[in-house]
Amino acid sequence: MTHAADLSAADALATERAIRLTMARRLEVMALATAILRDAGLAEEVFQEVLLVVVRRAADLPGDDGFAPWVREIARRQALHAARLRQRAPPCLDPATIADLMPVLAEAAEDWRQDRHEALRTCLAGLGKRARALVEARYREDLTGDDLAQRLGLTLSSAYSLLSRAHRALEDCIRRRLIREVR
Amino acid sequence: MIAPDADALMLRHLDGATSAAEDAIIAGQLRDDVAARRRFAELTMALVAVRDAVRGAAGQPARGRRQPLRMRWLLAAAAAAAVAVTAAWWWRPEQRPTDGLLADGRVVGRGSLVAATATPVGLDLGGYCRVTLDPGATARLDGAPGAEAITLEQGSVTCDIVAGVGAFTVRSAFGEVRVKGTRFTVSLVPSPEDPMSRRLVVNVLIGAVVLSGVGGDRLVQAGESASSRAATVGTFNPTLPAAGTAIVTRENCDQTVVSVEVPAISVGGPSSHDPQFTSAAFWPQLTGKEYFLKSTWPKGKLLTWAKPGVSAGGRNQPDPLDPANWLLDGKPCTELVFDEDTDVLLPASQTVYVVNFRDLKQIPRQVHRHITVESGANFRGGGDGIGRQIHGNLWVKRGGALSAQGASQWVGNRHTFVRNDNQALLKPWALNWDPTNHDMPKSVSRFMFSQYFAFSKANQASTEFFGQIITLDEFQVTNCPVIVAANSMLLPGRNAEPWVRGGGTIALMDGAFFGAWSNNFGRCDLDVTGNLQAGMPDRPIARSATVNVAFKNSTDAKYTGKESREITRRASLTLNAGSSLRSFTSDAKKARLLIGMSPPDRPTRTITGADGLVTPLVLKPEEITKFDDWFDTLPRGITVYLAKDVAVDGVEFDGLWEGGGLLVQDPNQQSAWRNVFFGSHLKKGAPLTTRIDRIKKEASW
Repeated sequence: MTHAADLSAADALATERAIRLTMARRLEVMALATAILRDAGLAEEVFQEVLLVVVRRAADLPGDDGFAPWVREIARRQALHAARLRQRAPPCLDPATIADLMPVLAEAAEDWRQDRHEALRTCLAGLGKRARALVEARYREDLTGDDLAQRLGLTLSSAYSLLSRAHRALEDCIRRRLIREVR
Repeated sequence: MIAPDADALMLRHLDGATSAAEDAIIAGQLRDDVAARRRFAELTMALVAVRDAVRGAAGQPARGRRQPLRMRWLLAAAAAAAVAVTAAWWWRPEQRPTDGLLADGRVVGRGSLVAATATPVGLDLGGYCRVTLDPGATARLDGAPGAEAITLEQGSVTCDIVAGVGAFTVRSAFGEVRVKGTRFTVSLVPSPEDPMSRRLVVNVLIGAVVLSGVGGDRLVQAGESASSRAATVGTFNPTLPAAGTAIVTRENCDQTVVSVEVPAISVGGPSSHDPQFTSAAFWPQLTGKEYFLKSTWPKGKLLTWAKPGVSAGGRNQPDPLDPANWLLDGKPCTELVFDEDTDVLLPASQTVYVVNFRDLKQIPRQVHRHITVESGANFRGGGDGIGRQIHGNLWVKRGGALSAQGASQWVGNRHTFVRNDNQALLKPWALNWDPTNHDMPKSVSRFMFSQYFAFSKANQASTEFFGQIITLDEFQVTNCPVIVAANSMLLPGRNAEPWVRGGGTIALMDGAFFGAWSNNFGRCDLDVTGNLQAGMPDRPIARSATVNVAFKNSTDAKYTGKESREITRRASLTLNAGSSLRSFTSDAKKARLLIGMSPPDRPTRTITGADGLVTPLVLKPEEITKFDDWFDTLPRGITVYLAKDVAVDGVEFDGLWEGGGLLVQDPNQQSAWRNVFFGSHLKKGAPLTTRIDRIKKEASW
């Protein structure tokens, strides 16, 4: 194992650049992996793998404008690789659909600047008690859909209807806050 | 419009809780329906963001049904160990972990970059600072024992500080937060007025903090939130060049040279005497191979202008040589000395001010080590025949300005940098220097650092230029390397015949540009006895760099105006015996030194004014017209004189005079040239070389 202290200053700079560039694409990579794998936890692992790949290639990364498509492709491959490793059913999205989805995800990621994250935090705090509990149970406690439905005493479909309403409420709240801030 | 039920189905699909039939429906929608794809992308993004936010706000990783994620501790570029740490961090060789800094319980070194990749990362700094990085946040561990600090580069952090133990600071390029005992969050947020700029937002939960920005210090108490003022921080985009940002177009050549903005750090933060090279936020353009990174400097004195916003040295203005107007190492100054051990800082101000030595009756000796000029400040110096001597680094931050009458002389024996953060806007060939247009100097004042530049440094110490920098006149390199950093631009001009003596070097890095901004028709645009090159032996280029020169008189035509001397033939670029013209490149087929022609139709006469154009010609108005008419009859195309033994390797010529733009002593000398290319704009069949000898060249070839 190469110890970090053995890294030259140039290597360290290149590595830091690799981390920064990848971290700046984190949301997009996570979303792409989530879309392919349909498992947010696995998507986190994919992101870590992507970061590893990028860091290993730190010395010869593409230029800044070429980095995004390059890392996107690594993410796609890593996600498909993860699906194979886990012996899951093949992704239900065919390669052409994934290819079509990638630029749309990249575009959607552009909307998630830091101010949107800030607004999301505020809006989460303002969610109704039931919706808040639902979001916490799903995303913090990582309950499965079935567990979620069971806790709420609902069918699976109804539980996700409630969850989608919570997402809608958050979206509306974020939109209002961002518009207010610009004004 | 996607129905809410469709949202629920998509969310369920994303959780892997749909049936095969439902998956097929979703897959069909995503394949065939653009709106469905867009909504799916929005929901997926929201899912990830909400998950991050819920966990980040809790300040702890997820708990529940899942096994702990297999996280990576990224220790080095070539290796990774599977341990349960959710952070990636690095430290540099000189930054060993000795100060008891912990990231998720693991010892890390001061200077480390910590990134929370998936779940929050807890930092324990000095035993009294507990900092939680939200997912997606990156921060560098700075500070010192008892005065811990982090530099927030991305995202949000929550800080719990035990009172009465030590100081703690959260820094960013956009302000800083200082505390002694409190709990607060800090985020870097885009400005609503300008999405390209950011501001620092602090929410105080317990206690109070001081938020510092260009507007001064501000106390923020528990329950309050505040932000740094976005308008003062400028824009920051280290990932340029983007499409459409070209500012220098090379005439007669397909290649466009793109100059890149350097990040704006208008206020505080790093300086020429404390550059903080380890911060990529401040130095995204560094490759790590720059020579000045190796320079070490003894502790010097720091003179700081004590009255930012107050001009001095002009009529009815305070005396800039009054020690009371300066701070020496932060304390009132009693004796003002400018020397090679003393740094100068003109701090930022929202009120523009000038510290002016040039117009004083008794102009002082202006010898400086490092100089930093921040936003709103203007450091005017030199004097007729006096100039300014600079031993160290020079950094003009965005919104700052610096000028000197006479020569700015770069001296000393250390590698240094010159950096101009002012926004890259100049199109040099459109630069219309009209002496009667008094607004014109304003447009170039943030780029024109001096009348002359002269480089004379010992031990082959280099001076590396970042950003766009212009001299009014001369550019003289005696015995040391002058490096134009990647995507940067260095322009001498007007009344000048720039030269590089033996032992001297002008080296252009990737995408860099060098060329006179005016056509001084009576003089060669660059006379080289040393080296003119792209890259350095240990810093090969991967993208081409460009030297442009202007066309001269390549014919027998002579201007015989009433008050003139003869304007004879003149080479655009001269490579004298013993010089070299070459590239240090990874592949000369892809990246090399481009020698081309400045646009021939730029307004030569009006650039410099009649007196500057053909000095010592002094033309009357009617003579100017006559000269212009004659000038317009001349054929376009550059000439390059290459002495017999000039080493040529990795060079492309374009825009050559069709009569044979390469002036050689012996046609066979080309056989020794290596990797020579010719641009696509040369006329087919036109001769490339003209045989001349040295005597003829000197005697008006």
